[in-house]
Amino acid sequence: MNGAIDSLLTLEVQDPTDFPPSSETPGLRELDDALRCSICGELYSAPVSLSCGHTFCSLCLRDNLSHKQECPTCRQAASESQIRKNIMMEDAVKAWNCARPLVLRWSKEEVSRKSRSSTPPRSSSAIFAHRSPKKKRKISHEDSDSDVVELVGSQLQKSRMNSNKPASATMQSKDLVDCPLCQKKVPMKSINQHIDAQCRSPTSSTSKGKQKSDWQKVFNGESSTSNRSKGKEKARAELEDAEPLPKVSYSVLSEKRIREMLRDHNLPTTGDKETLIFRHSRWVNLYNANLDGSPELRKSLERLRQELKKIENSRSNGTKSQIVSDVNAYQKANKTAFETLVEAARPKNTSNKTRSTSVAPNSSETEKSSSPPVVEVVEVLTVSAGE
Amino acid sequence: MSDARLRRVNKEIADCKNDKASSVTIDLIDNSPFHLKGSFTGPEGTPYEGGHFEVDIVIPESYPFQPVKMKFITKVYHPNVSSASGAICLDILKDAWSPVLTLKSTLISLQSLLCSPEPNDPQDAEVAKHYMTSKTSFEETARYWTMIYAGGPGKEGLKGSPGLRDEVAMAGLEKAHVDKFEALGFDRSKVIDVLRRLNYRGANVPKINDDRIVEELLK
Repeated sequence: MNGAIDSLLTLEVQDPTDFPPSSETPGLRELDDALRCSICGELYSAPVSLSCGHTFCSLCLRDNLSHKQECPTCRQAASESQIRKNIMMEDAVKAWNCARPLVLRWSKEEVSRKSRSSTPPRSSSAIFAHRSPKKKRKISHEDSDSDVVELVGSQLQKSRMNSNKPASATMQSKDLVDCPLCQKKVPMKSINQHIDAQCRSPTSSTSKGKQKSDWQKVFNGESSTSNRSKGKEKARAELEDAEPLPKVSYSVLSEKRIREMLRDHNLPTTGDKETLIFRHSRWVNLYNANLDGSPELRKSLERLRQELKKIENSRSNGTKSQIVSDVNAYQKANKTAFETLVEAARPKNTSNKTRSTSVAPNSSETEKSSSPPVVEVVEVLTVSAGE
Repeated sequence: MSDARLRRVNKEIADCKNDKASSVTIDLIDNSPFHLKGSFTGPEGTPYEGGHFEVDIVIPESYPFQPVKMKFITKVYHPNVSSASGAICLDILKDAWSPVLTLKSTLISLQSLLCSPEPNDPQDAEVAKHYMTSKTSFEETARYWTMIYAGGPGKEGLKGSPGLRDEVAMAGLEKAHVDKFEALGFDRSKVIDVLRRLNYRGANVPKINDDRIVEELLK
């Protein structure tokens, strides 16, 4: 947690309130606020809209729909199939990202200039009258500023050309239908095979290993033996083809099946069923959200895997289930500590000794709370939590 | 880079700090940014007016997709707040949560919950019964609790006996009723307990006969 508080203190957060209040610079706070996702509070990344018209970051919205099938803002019923890319919003955010520091500086200068003059103008028309000549002066005097403005324009043009491609591609495919199970677009003629195959393409068997080394393998590029296609080519092709992954109803699948699905995406297959489901569902969200961004902003699959690992780590740090699932290794690693504790507890209650050697650490901790070496228990626990 | 939850919480704390217009504040309790203390003033025109209410905030792992956990630190006499634990019965803290809600907007919702109690969906059944039986008596008690626990107005009148709380007023009972049964030889705290449990207030008083109370007291 110390790390968390440190990063909290050093973290630079961008916020609409960076701008002066609307009485000073009308509309700037509102503009910044309008370009932010109301779930994460950041400027939109891969913005998507629902049929009610509300817009969110693709990942934020997909994560939310995994919890609750409604629009977070208006509570209208919503589902993944309603999600549409909001390309124009993405362009607006891209431009604002470039312009924001500049506008921020101008607005601050404007406010300090106003406060210096003895009679600050109050009405908005007066503010505009004062501001417009200043803007002109800025642009003509500072070459770097005008460069930025041009850059914004050229980037916008480029992105608009790029974003036209997928739009026209989807227009052509008229004989696609929504799969009733996974909501993925499937050609009409192959919908039956698609459903028969449980909305996926089949592959091979299972293996076991430690979670960490599994992630290691993933990042070292050692694709498992069962993976037939060449990793790099596949990865590039996957990014270009831009086919979203289907949603999976995990309750009808066996653990083995979920492992296979994870292996198909070069993901670790360790952990209990709950972990596997969490990993796969988050992967689907990350992957699909990535595809909602414009192609030049998309992240590599390698990068997505790293993000997934980070999410998984931050999840397991706080939860009890992680501590419990580690019990065996944990008990082995701290065998001597436990033995001394058991020794210390023995004279107090002899009937407890068989239990205290075999039970999980959290219950033995409460047992030991009356015995002297409590400090040791605390140490052991913090060490395992830090891993 | 830090995770999305931390970034969002950080933003929300900054947002509250920057907004001087609202009466809502958020502070850290310990070293964790996910365990916070919110506070707001009692809404005007209610028995909670002038009080300063503190709320314990725990931010769950899957925030903002799961609701924040909030409970009152300050004791509050309100049908939707447990007078013992401070647990709050409010839909947006449960299934009506939405990720667009923030710490600030949730605290403001708590503030407005104080304005409009919902006795038909109570957290504290005894307080809710009190509210339904006699609203004026309920408001008197709520005001008294605000004064004692939330630093509300009226403390000056109590200067004669600082620290000494009037248990009868705390329970929302009439002093004359308590005195009457205490005179029969029962322990004062037991009398208060029984009368509160039986909701011996306002229109209920003539409905509950003395024998019933004595019976309860003898149990």
